[in-house]
Amino acid sequence: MIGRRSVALGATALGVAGATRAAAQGRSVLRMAKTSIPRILDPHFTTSFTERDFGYLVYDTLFAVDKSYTPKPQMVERWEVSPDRLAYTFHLRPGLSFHDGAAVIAADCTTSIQRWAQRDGMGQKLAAVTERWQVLDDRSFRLVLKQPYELVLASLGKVGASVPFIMPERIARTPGTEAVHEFVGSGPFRYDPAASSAGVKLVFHRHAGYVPRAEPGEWASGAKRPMVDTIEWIEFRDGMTAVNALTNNEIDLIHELPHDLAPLVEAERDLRVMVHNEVGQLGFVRFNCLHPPFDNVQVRRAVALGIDQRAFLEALVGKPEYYQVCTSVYSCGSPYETQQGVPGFNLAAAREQLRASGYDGKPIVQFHATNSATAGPIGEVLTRALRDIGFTVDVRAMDWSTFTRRRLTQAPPPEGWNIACSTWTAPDVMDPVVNATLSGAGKQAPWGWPSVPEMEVLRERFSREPDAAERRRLAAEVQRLAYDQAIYMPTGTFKALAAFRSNVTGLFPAPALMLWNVGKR
Amino acid sequence: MLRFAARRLLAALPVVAAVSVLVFLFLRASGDPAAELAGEDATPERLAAIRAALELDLPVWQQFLAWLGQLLHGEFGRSLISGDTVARMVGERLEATLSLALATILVSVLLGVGLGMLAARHRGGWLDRAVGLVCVGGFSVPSFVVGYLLVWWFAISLGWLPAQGYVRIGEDALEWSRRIALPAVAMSTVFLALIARITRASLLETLDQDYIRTARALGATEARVFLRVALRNAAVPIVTIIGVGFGVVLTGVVVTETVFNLPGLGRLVVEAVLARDYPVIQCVVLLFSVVYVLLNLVVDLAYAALDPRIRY
Repeated sequence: MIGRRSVALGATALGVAGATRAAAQGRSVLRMAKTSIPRILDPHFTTSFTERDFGYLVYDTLFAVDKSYTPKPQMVERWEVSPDRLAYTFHLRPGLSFHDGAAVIAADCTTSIQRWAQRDGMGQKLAAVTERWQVLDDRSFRLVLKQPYELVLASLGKVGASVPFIMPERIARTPGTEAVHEFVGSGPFRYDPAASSAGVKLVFHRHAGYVPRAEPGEWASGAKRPMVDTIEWIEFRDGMTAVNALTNNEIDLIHELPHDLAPLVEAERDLRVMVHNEVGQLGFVRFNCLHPPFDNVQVRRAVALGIDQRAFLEALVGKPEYYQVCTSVYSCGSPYETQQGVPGFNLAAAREQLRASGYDGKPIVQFHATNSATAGPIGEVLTRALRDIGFTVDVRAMDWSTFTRRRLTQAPPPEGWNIACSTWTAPDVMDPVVNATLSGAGKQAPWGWPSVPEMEVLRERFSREPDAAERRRLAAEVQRLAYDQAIYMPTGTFKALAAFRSNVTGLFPAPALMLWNVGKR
Repeated sequence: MLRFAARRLLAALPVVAAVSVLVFLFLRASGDPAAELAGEDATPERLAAIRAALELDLPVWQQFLAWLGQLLHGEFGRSLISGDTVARMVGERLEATLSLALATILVSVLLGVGLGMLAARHRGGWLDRAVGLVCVGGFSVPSFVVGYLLVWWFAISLGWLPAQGYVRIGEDALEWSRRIALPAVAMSTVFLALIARITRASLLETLDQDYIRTARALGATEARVFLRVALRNAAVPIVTIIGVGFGVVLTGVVVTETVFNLPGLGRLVVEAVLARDYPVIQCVVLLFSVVYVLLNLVVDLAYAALDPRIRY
């Protein structure tokens, strides 16, 4: 008996063969440069943005947010929520198929979501309130909750790392602590490992069996139409080399062009620059709340008063068109952006606050990841700001990898740290739950370990609240508390640029690398 | 000669072993690939789970023995980050680096020895001073600056050569040579200058010797004196510097590989160091230490071939 999976397999195999031939004939190949390419490739396993970008090309999602952060159905055709809000029933669109030709069925989705939920912070919260996932038939499945949870669709459609991509069940059965080594998705492009070279170039071909939605595309939602036969994602460690290659017509597109190179591209007649990621990335300063002096909220408040976002953004970006002063702990432009509790920059008040706090002048240890293109400059400005406020600062310079390890130590300095900085992408901080930096769970919180039990109560209430207006009020209350306790300090938003040749069409602003609907004339 | 080579190889084994142990220990005292994988919102529990999955929670001596066991079976393990076999990763990158190193040495030797001879032949003249100027430039201007200038001129302004990238020699030999030309020239500037200076100095010293005067007195042509007698006797320091230079080029290509986007070992090892991908770093360091040992051996053997007075 020929099953649905077998029929889809045959159809897709024909399509794939056609696409491969097209690529071999040299038709419509989009060559894209990026500072790095993914090494692990498993987008559930790591929160790395490059793996997320790889995931968006190869995999699809049940839901996806549009640019107003509203979850829209993607692989899902329709869904119902029970009156008691404890059961969500999902129905898949017809015609969905993986790159190996197998049809996407409900078990693929439930297994993938459960694997993703082992690793992602948002997924773990969803798992904590999940009673069970239940397969109803090939195209329908149900999520049964232990208690109402209003972030189900937001979780399934989240665009920040890591994203709940759907894999075939046989692959998604791999434990979350182990990376998968077979990359079969149902997204608009098929990964070609044979044509790719680890750490150098990744090659993707059009997934001929992909059925786009009818709605217009916006961010990861709506129609995803593969407009080129092949995409080559090439690693360029040096931005200047990428610009040279673009100028010389050796590549078509640079994703995340360094800001200082934009004038060179703008000067070329056949090249274009656009703000590709408008919502951008956000820098932040994090305190170690376990040890003096930052276990004292008065000292943290002194730093909060002494942070001038414009100084950080000028050092990092330099051009006002490409940055935004954003004092909300949620990304600016997101539904929960608010000015509640923002302390405002006042250096004199910061110095006075520090004097009143009882800080004894003992050096504070700042961990500084010097080789990070973003956290590096932010750290340099932070050192200056701390000294201006009146701190004695002992800067420990290190590379990013050492930083990611050592910041996790809860021991006091000199082994541990007092203050450090890093970055998020805007979707990663869009609400009180997804923004893990807001956690007040003490030693169970991410690095910094602030203990603010009231914060956890507020975040929990937010996740259960069905009323949108009340959720906004709760989000504002979370921000007020975050600033009152000075849990962390944002240092502003900077936008990512793309540079491309004038014959590239359809490139649209997005919070990640999204190359569907992008073609070449 | 063969016994000498075998003795040298055996004597090098403890050096290679010591390098391996030191690299293994130093690496584990620095970063942690698990922390890199755990992400921005990592909790101690998640970190511990990843460390356990990668077997990084085992005592260091157990990890070392496991790695040694793999080596004895001719395996280099798998990347902690990508899961690829290290042998495949290194194998894929070896060709670009070797191509660049060999082309660089070829350009440096041909031009460097030539310029050195020219300068020695015209000692004190304007040609000698011009060569000196070229050498000062070669020493002073960093190779990445030369690289960008070459790209601007030959790739962007004239359009003769590609600005970046690499094509395997087996795929298209002509395209390979087009891709390797600019990086080789950019990288050769320092070694060209070094070889030219050494060649000039060594030749001048040789040209003052009695046997040169004797050769001239016996009626040998100036070309024969210069090329057959003087150059051969001046060759030992030149060969030494070429040997050392090859090792330095092979292990120091990362900047040039980055400027020209060449997928070589230099970039691989820098990425591995930043991600603390232990097996990859260990394999490349082991490979480089073996290459250094072999290079020194080849240089020693070359001495004997060039100068009959040297016997082992």
